[in-house]
Amino acid sequence: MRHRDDAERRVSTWLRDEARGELPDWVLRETFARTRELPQQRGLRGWLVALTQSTRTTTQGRVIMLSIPVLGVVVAVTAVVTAVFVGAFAGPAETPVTGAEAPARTFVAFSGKTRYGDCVGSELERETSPGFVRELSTAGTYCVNPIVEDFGDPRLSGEFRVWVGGNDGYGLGPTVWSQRFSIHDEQGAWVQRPSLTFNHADGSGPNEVVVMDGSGAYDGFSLVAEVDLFDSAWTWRGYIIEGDLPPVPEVRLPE
Amino acid sequence: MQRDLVVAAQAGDHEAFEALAISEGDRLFALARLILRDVDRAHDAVQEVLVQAWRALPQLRDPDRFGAWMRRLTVNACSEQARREKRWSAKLTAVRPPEPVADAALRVADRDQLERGFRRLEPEQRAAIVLRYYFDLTVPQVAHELGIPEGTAKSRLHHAMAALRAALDAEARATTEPRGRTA
Repeated sequence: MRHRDDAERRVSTWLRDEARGELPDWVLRETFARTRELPQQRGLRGWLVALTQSTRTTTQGRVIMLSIPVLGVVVAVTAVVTAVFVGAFAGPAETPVTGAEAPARTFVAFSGKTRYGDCVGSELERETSPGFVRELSTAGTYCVNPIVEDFGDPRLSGEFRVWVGGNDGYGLGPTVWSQRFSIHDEQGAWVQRPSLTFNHADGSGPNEVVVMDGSGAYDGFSLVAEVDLFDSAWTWRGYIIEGDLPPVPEVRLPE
Repeated sequence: MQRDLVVAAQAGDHEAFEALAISEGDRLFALARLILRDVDRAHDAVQEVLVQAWRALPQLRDPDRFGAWMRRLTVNACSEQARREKRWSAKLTAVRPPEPVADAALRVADRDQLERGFRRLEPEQRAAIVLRYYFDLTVPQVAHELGIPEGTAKSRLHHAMAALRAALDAEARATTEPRGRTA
C-alpha cells in the first residue's frame, strides 16, 4: 500500500476535523415523518427483494432463473372456480375469420393479478460480472401468500416463475432487465419469449407486453398480455390464442 | 445485524429503516457537509437522501452494500444540489465543528488554505477527495462508488490533490517570503 505524502496527510487530518458533528435529531424526526407516509417503490427489483429474504453470492452458474412456487390451495380453488366460469360463459370463444382461406383462430380473454407475499425463506444466488448481475433462486422460495391471485383461466394456474437478469443500477439510474416469465403445471407450461424491460431511476417500471408460448397440453396455444407492473400488484389483461401468433414480417431497412 | 435491518427495511419495516438511518446519519451528514461546505444544505441533502433511500430501498440488490449505496446516494444528492444552484455559494460561513479541536499538525493557515482550495474544486472532485481521504477508500472503491471508470477516478483525485497541494504550497511560500521590502 502506498504511503500518503505530507499533503495527503494534511488533507486527511483537515477533513476529519471538519467532519465533526452530529446530524441533529430534528432532521431525523422530520425525515421519519415523511417516510412513514411514503410507500416504497417496488419495480421488478423490489418485487424480487420482497420474495427473497436472503441472498448469497456465488461465483459460478450461468443460468438465470428465479423460481417462485405458487401456493397451491388458493390457486387450485381459484382454478376450479375459474374453470367452471370459463366453461359456462367464456368458451369456446369468439372465432374471428380473417379470410376465406385463413384458418379459424379462437381466443379467450383473461385478466388477473399477480402479487408477491411475505416470504418465509429463500436463497438467491448471484453471479456478478462487470455491468451485469445474474440471479438464480434456489428451490425453496416459499411465500406465505400466493403469487397468482387470480388469472381467470385454469390453464394459467400453475407455478409462476420469473427468469431475470439485469444490470446493477443500485437504484440510482434506470435498470435494464432481461426477463422471461413462465407458468408451469402438471399438464404443460407457458414460457415468455425473451424480452427486455427496465425500471426508471425512481424504481417504477413501465407497462409490459408479454408474449408466451404454450407447451405440453398447451402446445399450439399462444398468450399475449399487457402487464401493468404497479408496485406490488401486477395486473394482467390478455388473450390465450389457439395457434401460433402471426409471424413477424422481416423489417427491411433502407439501403 | 445491519444486514437484517436492511432486509427488513426492504420489506417495508419502518422501524428497521429508522434504526439504519440513525446509525448512518452522522456519517452521511459528515459526507454531505464536507462536499457542500454548508450545514443547512447538508441537512437538506441528508433528509432527501434518507427519503430517497426509503423509497428505493427495495431496489437495492445487495443488502451488504447498504453503506456504500447510501454514500453514493449522498454524493449524487450533493452533486445535484450543486447543479441546481449552478455555482457554489460564495458564502464564507465555513463549516466548523461545534467544538474545534486544534490539531497540532495542522496550522490555522493550513486550514484556511485548504478551505479555500477545497471550495474551488468541482463537487465531483470534492466527493472523490472525501471518499479517498476521509472514508479511506481505495481508488477502485472510489471509482465504484462514484460510478465512474477507475482511470477517471484517478484523474479526478490527481487534479484535486494538485489543487490542494498548490493551495498549501502558496501558504508555505507566503509564510517564508519577506513581508516587505525597504529601499
